[in-house]
Amino acid sequence: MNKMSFPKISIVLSKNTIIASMLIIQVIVIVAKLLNAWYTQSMEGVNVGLWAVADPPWQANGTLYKTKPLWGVHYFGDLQDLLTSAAWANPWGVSPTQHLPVGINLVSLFGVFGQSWTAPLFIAISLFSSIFLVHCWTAGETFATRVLYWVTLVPLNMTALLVLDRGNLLLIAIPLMGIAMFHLTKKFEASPLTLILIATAISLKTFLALPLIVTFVIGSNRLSTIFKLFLTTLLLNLFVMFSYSGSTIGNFSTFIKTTLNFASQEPAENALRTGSSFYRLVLEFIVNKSFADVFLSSLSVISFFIWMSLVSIVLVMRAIPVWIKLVVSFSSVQMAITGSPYILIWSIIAVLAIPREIHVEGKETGKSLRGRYAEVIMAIVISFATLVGNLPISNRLLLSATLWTVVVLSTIVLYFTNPLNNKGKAALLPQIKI
Amino acid sequence: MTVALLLTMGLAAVVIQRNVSDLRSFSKLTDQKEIIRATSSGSSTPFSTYEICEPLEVLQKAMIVNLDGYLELNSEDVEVLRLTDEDQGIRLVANEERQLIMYFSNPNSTNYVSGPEIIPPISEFWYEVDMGDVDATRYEVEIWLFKIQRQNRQDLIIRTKLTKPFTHSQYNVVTDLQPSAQVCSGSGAVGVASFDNEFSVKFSTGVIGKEPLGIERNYRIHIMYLFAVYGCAFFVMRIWQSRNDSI
Repeated sequence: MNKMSFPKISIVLSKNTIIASMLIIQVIVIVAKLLNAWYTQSMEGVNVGLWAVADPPWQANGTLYKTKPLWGVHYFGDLQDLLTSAAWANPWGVSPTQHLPVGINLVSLFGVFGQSWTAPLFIAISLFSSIFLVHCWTAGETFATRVLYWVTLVPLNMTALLVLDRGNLLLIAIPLMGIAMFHLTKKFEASPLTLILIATAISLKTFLALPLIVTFVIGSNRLSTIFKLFLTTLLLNLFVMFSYSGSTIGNFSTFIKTTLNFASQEPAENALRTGSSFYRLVLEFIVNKSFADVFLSSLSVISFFIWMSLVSIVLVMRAIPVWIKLVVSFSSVQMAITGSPYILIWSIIAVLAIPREIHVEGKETGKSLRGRYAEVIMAIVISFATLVGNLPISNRLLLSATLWTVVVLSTIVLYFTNPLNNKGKAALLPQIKI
Repeated sequence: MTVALLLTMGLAAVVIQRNVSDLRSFSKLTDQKEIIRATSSGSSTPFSTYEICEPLEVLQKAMIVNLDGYLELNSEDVEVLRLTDEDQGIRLVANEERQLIMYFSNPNSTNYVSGPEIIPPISEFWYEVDMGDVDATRYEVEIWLFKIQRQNRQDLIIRTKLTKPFTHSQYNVVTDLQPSAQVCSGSGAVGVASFDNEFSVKFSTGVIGKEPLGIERNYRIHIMYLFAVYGCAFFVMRIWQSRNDSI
């Protein structure tokens, strides 16, 4: 009986090809947006999401720290929200924050020298972090190639600019995580420094925990590693929280409640409504807007198409390590469901982590085909995850949970059916040891 | 070694918890002195404001504003204004950035400041109430209780604004005291000429007496403590790692 197989194909895809494609697409997007602005005599399309004049910090009321534009009209709102929380004797008291204490304390760095230094420090550290990340992952490349990588992933990446303009800490948290992942994949052990870096990244952006945890568990097959990571994050934050006024346990309890409340129906509905749902965009295209409005005035739709193309490539390529697929797929599902302004940011790690050359062989045996099915299912599910944005809220929430479940199951199937997990495990998975 | 490190960090946390100050750290204003008092009765009464901003020029001083009074909008709708009491008043403090922070009352009256006890930087403050259709005499309103803008260190503008009258709380202002008043550089005004009203405003100064104040000091301590925690965590983990390797 013949085993079922895909047609035999052989492709060699270079990481440089992906970077070059991203660069070309981003330049086209920027030029198109400027042309559109010239045609419509309005910079509104260019300004969407960027130069957030009308997007000051939401937590301006009730604080000791008075917010103000830090650079021209730019508020760097997310950053000032955190500085606001850091100014309180108890950030989990009156206006409880959903941020962890290590993140709050770290952000205090941007307020130490007064508000006039806040924006320069934030921009400098964000850019330096991203440069260092690229430097780590591009060892052996020429200086010009490294510069090209960084320019493509940050200054010409409209989403990275959006993150920077918003004062969001992703451009610091993701480099921290990326450097830690680099250390893990190259050194094959989770050193104390690695654990502290990851704990700090999670403390800055709590949602980073999910893809990291799954990656650790499945990638290392060692529950003790995830336990140590959890313990490091917990103890670091408890020790820091202890220095704030009020009951530490009470503060921690308030943090949990606030975080859960952040994911409650109202914020979720808002996130879903403003997400780059493909369905929503199609409706806008058909019902309300012109082609230019929909496809040139929305940063998220551009980033969505670029990113999902990349995700599809990553998921179906055998040579890419499973942990990269997990990070990419989980972050994509999360971002697709909760709104996608930051989708492209994830590419900073994903693109860097892709091997220099990827050899794609289409011919598969019957055994490995099951793994291929799982990868294809994941690609389809993750793509469909972007369709949920315009459904009724109850259906959306239900569908989101369903999608998550499918992705988790697919991930498990993918791992246990991938023949490379038995053959070339050492080369494809980070061997994590403490 | 590990236990000693953990105990040291715990002790440091306690010390920081008890000593990290911010602008609410003062428990009692001392050396309170009245700067100026102005009253109105059925009219808009001007008063000199040359002196009242002196406390805001010094980091360790607070301006205290006691505002009291009422406004009769019509025969069926009498609004009583009692923003503060004689003891507490509204307290204004300038931070390092010369930005004004305003408190309704003693910020240390609870474990941590909550609810209406603290109100935000003054230029940002506004209060909005949606009364809906609960009562025909109540309206949807948007109120600027105080609007104080510091364009520079000499100018301070105080004004209140009301779009519609409302009945909600004894703590809400229901009138324009004056569209605007150059408080620190000229004259202010209290009262409204077109309605039956009576207001009293008193500006005084008090010494906070805790040095230094300010959020920048808190930020510095946050950073120092965090890196101390990092250092200890790294050290402890390395010890555990070397023990595991040697076994």
